[in-house]
Amino acid sequence: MLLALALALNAIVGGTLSTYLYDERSSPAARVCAGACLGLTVLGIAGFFLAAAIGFTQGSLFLAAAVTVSPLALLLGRSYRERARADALKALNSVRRLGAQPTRRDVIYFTFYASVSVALYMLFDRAMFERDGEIFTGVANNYGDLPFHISIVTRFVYGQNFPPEAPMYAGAGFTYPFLPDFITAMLVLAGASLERAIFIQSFIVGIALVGLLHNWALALTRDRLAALITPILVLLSGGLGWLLLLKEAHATELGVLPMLTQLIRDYTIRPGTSWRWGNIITSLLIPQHSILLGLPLALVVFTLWWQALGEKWGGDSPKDERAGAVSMRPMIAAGAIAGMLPLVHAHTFAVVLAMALCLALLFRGWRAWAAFFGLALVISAPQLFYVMQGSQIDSRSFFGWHVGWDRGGENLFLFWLKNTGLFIPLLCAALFRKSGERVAGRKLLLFYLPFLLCFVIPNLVKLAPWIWDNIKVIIYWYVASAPLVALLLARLWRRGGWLRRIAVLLLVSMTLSGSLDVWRVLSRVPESMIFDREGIEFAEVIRAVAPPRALILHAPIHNHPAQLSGARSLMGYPGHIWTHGIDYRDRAADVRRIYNGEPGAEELLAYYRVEYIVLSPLEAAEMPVRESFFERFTKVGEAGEYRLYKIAGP
Amino acid sequence: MSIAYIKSRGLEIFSGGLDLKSAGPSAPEERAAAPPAREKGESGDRTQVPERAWLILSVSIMISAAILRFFDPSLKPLHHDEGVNGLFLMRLFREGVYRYDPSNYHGPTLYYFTLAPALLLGLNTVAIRAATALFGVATVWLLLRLRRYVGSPGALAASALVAFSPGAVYYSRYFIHETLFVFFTLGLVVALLGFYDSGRALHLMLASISAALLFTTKETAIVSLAVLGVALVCTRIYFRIRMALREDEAGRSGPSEKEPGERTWARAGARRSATLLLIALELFALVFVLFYSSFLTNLKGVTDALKAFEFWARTGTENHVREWYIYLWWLAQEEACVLALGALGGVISLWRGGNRFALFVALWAFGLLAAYSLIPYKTPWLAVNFIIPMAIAGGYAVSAIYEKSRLIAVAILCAAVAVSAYQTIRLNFFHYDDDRYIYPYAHTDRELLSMVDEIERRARAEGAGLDTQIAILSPDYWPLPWYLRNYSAVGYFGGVKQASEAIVIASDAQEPELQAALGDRYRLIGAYALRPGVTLLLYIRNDLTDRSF
Repeated sequence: MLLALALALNAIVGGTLSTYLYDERSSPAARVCAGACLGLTVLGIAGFFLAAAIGFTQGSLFLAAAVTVSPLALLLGRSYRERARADALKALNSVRRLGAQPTRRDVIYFTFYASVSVALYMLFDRAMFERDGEIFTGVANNYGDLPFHISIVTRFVYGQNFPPEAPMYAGAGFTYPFLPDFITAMLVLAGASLERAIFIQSFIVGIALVGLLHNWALALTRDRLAALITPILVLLSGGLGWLLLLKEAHATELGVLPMLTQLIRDYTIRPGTSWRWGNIITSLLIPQHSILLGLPLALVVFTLWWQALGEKWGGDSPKDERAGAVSMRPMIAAGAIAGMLPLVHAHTFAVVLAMALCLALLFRGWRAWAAFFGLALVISAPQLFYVMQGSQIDSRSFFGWHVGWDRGGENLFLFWLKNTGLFIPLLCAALFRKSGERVAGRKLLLFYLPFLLCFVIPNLVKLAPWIWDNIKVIIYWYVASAPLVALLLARLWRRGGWLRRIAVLLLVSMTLSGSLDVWRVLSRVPESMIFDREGIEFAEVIRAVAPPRALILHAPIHNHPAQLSGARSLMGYPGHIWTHGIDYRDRAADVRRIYNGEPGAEELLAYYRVEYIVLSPLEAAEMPVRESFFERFTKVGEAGEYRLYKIAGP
Repeated sequence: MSIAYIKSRGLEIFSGGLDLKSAGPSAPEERAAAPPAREKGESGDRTQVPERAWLILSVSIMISAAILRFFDPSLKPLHHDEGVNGLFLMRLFREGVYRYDPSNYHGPTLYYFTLAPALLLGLNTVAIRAATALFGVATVWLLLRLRRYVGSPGALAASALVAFSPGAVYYSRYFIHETLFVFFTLGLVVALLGFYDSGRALHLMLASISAALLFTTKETAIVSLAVLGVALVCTRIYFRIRMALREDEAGRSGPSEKEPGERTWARAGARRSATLLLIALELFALVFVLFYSSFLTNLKGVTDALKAFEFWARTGTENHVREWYIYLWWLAQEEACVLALGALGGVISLWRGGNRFALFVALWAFGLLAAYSLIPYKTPWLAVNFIIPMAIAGGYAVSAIYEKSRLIAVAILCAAVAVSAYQTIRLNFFHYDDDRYIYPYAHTDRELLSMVDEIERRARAEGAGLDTQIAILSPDYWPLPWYLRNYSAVGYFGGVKQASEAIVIASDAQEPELQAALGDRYRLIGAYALRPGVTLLLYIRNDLTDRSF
């Protein structure tokens, strides 16, 4: 465990020092936040390619750590050393001031970040937890995703999955941004339990995300209050779902407050309804490890773009870099970071490139933009090439016309009003308000403009096999819009009187539903068992009996214990396979034939080169199973009702 | 107060020179303009309470008021009237239906304002009493807003006296209209004072809304408004006489000073004044119509509201008839401190003639006492109406004493609060259903809650739970409909009948008939006092008794 923590700390230090290469002005806190995400990403990429080359061992781990911390070498240079020292002293003085003579702002910042840290700790602590030898999740939306991520991690840790093969579909290349899960695998290899590894990584990146949101909004708006409101708007995103709570409190006569202690449903997202705009924490950041790392990295890139825009645009670039309309150094850094995104989060990578293209047209400065694109493509190309090998993705399933995102039969305007509440009307007010002072200046409006496409396009076109996944793009519109809405609220607040109260009410109305969902997790009411004790023991049996890359046939369900073993699965959960654009139907039918012991079943086993087959109540519950068919195979292990059979080789 | 000061600060005339320096933060410019000299005999420094002390004391008073009102609100069983009100609320909450009935019941505000607590806390006893408790605490807060008019010590004393008043606490923990009514009355006064002070339209609109809510809460609004009007007129007359006498003494002549209200109107300009008045009247009408018409779903309610006065004029002479002095007697027993200090405040304000507001409040308090004493209908909850202005007058008395001797003023206030606190705790948390006290007026006995628990226990054990059939044969059963609101099969028969229900509730007066009607099919579980003179008997069908126990 200590080694895992040291590895994470090593990444934070390396990443933080690397920020001195491109950023001369950021605060120490902003550097640490950006550095934590950069460091972990570099650790993951270095570790992955080293592991692919020399095996996923302590040795490759050590080498990756060395690469990650290499920016320490910068301290050999006097100017870097002095800047780092000045920042360290500045940070120390801030802490001292907080203890001795805190200003109002110190108290507000401390309270804000302390509250956020405690809340995130408790939230990520519920993402996965073990109790009495069983594995649970306390986040309803994580029920489907967690086993998938666990299977990716175990495939790396126990199955030496290089080059990566889809853990839920043996034989197919893993065309998925697996880097965040690979980082988790590295922490597991360093001695952390799976549960703690996921927690450590998520908590570090979660805190960094809040800091980066704050920093980005501050850069964009130059308004401290708006900068503080932005993370609140983003993290507690939601719509008018709180009205459902009132409705339910009325119908049950239980009352809102008593209901808060036993919330049984979410208030931002509900399956089978037109409530689809799930809270970012409970629907995206906890269940989807990729976007948790992708979003902060994208924010670093966006902030660098903003810094790079020269005075011509009303920017604030330092004088020595104002030769062009767009400064070079931040753009080079942005390009390098963007280049690391394909393995982190593919949708984020696509969004960053698309936004860059639009911004390049709006803010001309071809040299800087060429540097950005050049570096991004050079760094990303090997990753893309690597992960596209053996891909069985049907690209047609990703694209198609689809108006109104996941609205079902709901009226489009009503759908967005329900799901985002007053956010869009307030955004319009921030963008178009003309009486008196404009909320956003020309540069900010131009900069924001491309992000509107992140809302418009996913409302017209399907960008993933499952339409809901368009949220991975729409969220960038929301994140980009939040500073503008926050700025409007900050202006209202400053005008005092009734407007101040209205500002508070507006903020509450936009964050109440998200708060309810977050509170639901914090209240520790929901918990779903993912793997039971017997299942976990059975995974250990598989690991003991079968070789690391053995191919196993089991029921195609999302939480089969075989996924914990690290072995290859002939076929995992169809829900996961489909969302990755793989046509699984033939194989699914074959799996049913095999378990039913139909004629040709043995030939199918041979065809797929299945080495082991699992028989348990899970298979019996999922499809017809003819037990007599399995008598011909040797039982090599069992745990409770789970049995593992060895298929004789050819 | 010097004439020069009156001329320059006409709008401040109600404050009577008391504690202007420590005026609230809403009027910094007024504080800056406060004159160095005060009214004869009233030193500025002596009327001040340090800002920090004010903050600590006012917060402490608010917290105390909240604790006394919100602590275990379901401890006391519901009174008969609370049960009836609960039924109206239940229908409004469940079906969204409320129809104003002028013949029996008061206005609709209580039910509409309780919807929010019911939604927040659930449809239960805690929620309905939380609504009145909230208004009770808000009344204490409004009293603190009178700092400009009775001085800091006066406002603190008045709010403390009400915070700890046995009657104010008792009826804040009681789901009837009185606490809301008192709040709106005080709200009207405070808003009008604000308008006199600042001339801001907002204050006039708040006053208009308060007046409308007063009328939509209870028909006795007419009494309160009449007394307020008479008190205002008497105050003006008294001060005109005093001023004339002073001018004669000083040998001065010339045009007399305008009254503060006149100055406000004069400053506002005739057209603006007329417009403001018109808007205020429209606002009054709007609120009145909205509430009485159940938000435009029952327009007949508006005309019915006007008929209500006729009904209540009759009720006021027929029911609950008591001796004319009974309120004084009740106050002497339960609110001796408020009564004594209030009377002292009235005397001081008359004698000194330096604070119009203090005199107005004293006239309001004792005028209302006189008015309600003249009306034959007398119930203890009406006393809350004059406890509030009496406490303000008492606060003024404390403030006046404070100018002379802080120690004596603090000692008097502490003693008054200690006595009131003792009485409050004894009444509200121990003797809340003891009819030897004044406020528990034909109150439901705590044994009723034991009976409700027993019914719940039997119903759960019987298996049918909330679908258990219950027959109420007793003609006296309120507030049982509230407590049994979640049971789907409860019949109220008002007399003995052949019963087959699982549970039967009858009164002890029906015992001889019960024997014949229930025979040996039922077994008596217990006898529970409902209120003085009425005992309920709880029977359960034998087969259920045998099966479950």
